[in-house]
Amino acid sequence: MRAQIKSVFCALLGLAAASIASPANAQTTAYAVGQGSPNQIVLTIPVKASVGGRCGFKAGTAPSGTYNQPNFDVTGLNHDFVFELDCTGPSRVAVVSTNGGLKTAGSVPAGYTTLAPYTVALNLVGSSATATDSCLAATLVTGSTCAFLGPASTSVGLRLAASSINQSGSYLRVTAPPYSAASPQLVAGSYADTLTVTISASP
Amino acid sequence: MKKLACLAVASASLLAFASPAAAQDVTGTVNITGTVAGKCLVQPGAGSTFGTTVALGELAQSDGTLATDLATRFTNIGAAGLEARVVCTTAAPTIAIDATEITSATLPVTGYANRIDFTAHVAVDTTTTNDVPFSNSSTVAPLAATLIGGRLANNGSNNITVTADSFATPNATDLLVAATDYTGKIVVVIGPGV
Repeated sequence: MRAQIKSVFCALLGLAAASIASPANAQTTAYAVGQGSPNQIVLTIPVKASVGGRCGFKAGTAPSGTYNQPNFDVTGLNHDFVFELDCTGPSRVAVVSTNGGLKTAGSVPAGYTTLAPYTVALNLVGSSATATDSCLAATLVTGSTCAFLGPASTSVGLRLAASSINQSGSYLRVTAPPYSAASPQLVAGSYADTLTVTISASP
Repeated sequence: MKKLACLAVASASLLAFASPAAAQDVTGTVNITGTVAGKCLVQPGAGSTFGTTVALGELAQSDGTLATDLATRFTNIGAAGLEARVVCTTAAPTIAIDATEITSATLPVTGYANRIDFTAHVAVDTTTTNDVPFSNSSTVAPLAATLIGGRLANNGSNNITVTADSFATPNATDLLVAATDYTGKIVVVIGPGV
């Protein structure tokens, strides 16, 4: 019985230390009834908490999917990936490109290229503000310079200075003009890139 | 053992309560794919044709037989029009050449000619070799699509050069019939291959 009481006290002490993180009090022993005094220990446990801002993509509306454009060197690129934010306060959205452009496998012949540039535009719509910016995909790789190069954090990414709940109109847009007149010449093949979009609250 | 357990409880609680709640970070992933077909383009301008008209002028010498300087005249008169910059998106483009003799509708009699045969030459620059030679004589069947042997050079300069030589009448002593409608042609087709 005495051991059980000590165990209870031990747990309570843990909670107390966790909640107030104050210096440990001198140890007090509580005894079972009839085996000594005191028979109980009173602890005061202040509880402090806060509710952090909720921020993410609205369920089921995160930017996703595949945009396939055959013969994009002739037609160019133009597609919007729409999404909705679900943030109770300001937020930041950032993007990372896997390849820094549409890339096809294989070596790069002199005078030709296996990497097709394109532009990524980000448009965020909030309850009382909007934010928009664009960068070349080449600047969306780690270590590059785009203002919304990810991953997003409280200080990294395109900032939307307002909450955004059930707001439509946000999108990630990929565009490029026809490449035929560009130099160097794209080689024939299948090209691909992946954009990873992250979001963070930005108090 | 119980002391150890007690410390563990306290530490875990400290971690849980001492840090603020983490913001909800989520990720979206989009894929962009596309294709570039095999094709050949005349640059600049991404056109599909190149060429010029070479007006050779008087084809006969003063004695009526075929002039002997037509190869030089062809090159000098054709000049820049006989060169082009062609690029293909593929690694193994092909070339086909069809040289058609220079003829007139005026029919000849024995000892005369209304036909001048010649050989067309096309020199092609690849990324590894300059002036890869191909040719076709107007006396034989056209050169069918043939692998050039490498990716076409794309260095901003022309990489196709057309010349012609070996101009000849059926008999060296033939006199050319007088006419103003002598025409021939050279057709060069650069294809992307497979």
